Amino acid sequence: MTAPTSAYRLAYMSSEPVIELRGLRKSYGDHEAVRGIDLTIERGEIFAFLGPNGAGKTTTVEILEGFREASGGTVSVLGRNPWNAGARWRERIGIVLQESSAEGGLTVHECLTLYAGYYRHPRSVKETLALVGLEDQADQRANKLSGGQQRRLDVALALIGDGELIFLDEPTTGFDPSARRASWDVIAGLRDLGKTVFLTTHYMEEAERLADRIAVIADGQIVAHGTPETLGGRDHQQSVISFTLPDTIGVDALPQQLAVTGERNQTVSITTASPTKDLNTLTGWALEQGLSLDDLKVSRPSLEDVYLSLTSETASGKAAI
Amino acid sequence: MLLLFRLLSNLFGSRGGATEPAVSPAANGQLALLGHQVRFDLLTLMRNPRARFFTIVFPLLFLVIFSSVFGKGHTVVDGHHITLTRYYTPGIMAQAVMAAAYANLVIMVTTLRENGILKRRRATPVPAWMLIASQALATVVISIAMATIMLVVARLAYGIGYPVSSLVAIYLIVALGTLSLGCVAYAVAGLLKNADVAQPFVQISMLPLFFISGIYLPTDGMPKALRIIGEIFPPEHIANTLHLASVNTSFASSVSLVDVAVLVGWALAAVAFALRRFSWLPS
Repeated sequence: MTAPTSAYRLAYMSSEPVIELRGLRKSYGDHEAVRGIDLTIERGEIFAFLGPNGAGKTTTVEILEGFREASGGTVSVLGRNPWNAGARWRERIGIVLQESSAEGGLTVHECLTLYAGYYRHPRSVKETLALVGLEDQADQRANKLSGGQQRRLDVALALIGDGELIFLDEPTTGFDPSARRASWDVIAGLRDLGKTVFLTTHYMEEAERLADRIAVIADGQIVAHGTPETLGGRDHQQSVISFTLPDTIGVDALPQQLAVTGERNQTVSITTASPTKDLNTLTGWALEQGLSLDDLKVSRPSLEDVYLSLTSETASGKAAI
Repeated sequence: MLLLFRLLSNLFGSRGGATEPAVSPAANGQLALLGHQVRFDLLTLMRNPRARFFTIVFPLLFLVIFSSVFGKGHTVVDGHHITLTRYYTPGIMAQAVMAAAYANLVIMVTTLRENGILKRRRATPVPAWMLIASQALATVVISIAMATIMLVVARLAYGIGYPVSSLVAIYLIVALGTLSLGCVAYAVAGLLKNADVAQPFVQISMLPLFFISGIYLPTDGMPKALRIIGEIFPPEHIANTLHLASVNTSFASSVSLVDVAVLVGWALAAVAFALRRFSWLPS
């Protein structure tokens, strides 16, 4: 299959959403784990769902997968409520669980043959093995594979049914960097197959690399959503200019219009909404004084900074209660 | 025995391993899908060293040890004077059924649940009842195979044979006992938090019953209290009706309806409990 063109994807996206949540709630006794979530995920998207442990992330995913029943709100996944959707609905989804080990005693090929038998129109075992790069391990016992290979088998088992919607729950947790990059290629490949992907992850780099859109959940609510570039108003946020002054010059000597927001060991930070103008002021002043500004750097907040500030706000709010 | 085992595992191994069916079992109807699952459940069981040891090696070892040590003694079963060698074949067969259906299933199901394998299977289109029915069928196959091995050993090593009506009764009881204990196993798996507690729970709930249920020792001389306790639980009833089958020559006197009723009762109660308590998700 070739990569869908943007026109093709646009046509797809105009159809009914793959996942639609309105006011989703879930309580366990007195504790409300999910407190009113709205989400819409379109066909062909890679959607990343981020949040700290205990934020309601796993609960939400398990409701979407049909393992738990919502306490309130409406849930529609591929047009059905997952809680009472039957076998026909399950044929259309694939799941990589956060924790699952291999089928004991079976080889990689046997595992895939077993699972392929559950679907009326499975993908071929050989093709699926190639997709995740496990051709050479086909006859190995699944429980003898390395951690990264076992995770690839998990992905293969989620793909064997050739479903439209794939859930990936922290697919690369515990991977070394090279195994993680290999997995990213596999996940990015799902986009080319036209799949919709619902991804949860702890790694910001992973979300930034793969996701079309991101939502952040904290304390049972969505605190931000957007593209990796715009999440949490990242695109409008202020830049930070930092540099190191020579020992002989104090911060007071800097032009008045620069807003110094940090100073430590002669390293100064200036927070600004107009970096071009302030940079001009700063460098103009430095040239006049005959100074070289060591370590001069202009930076935007990283996705990780945005995520941490979003999730720590709710965490500190929680602590205050 | 080993040869038979090889044969079986080769049969399933080669089919399970290499070829891919042209039409998917799921597209071929429920029976085809059930057959597909049973094949892989058997394959998994036969490749599991723990299951092999407890359901095959262990009972055979006990049969040989008990028969050699106590075999010269005598006891009375249903009015028939028999040697203890004759007594131990059905007794240890009841032990084998316990090992295959109860011990093995409890440990396997809790382990599969803890490892997320049950959850992953539930995420596929395969119906829940089919996964359970398949495990039950695979376990019945193992129990029947085990009973056959023991009957062959009893015949060859100790010259103990049975009429056809008794053999039919023995196989029926083994199958019924396996299904009944399989239901109990699911109920117990619903009760246990994880695989770590499964192993000790299985041993503590099973071992004492071997001694008071007519499996390791005849129950005639036992205190009444112990006999009553033994009669509450399924093993006594499996062992009792197997003993009847081993001494009687007619089918009617081989199968005790009381024992059958108790086994069915346990099965129904266990199913009712499992429906409320059993979960596919790891705790």
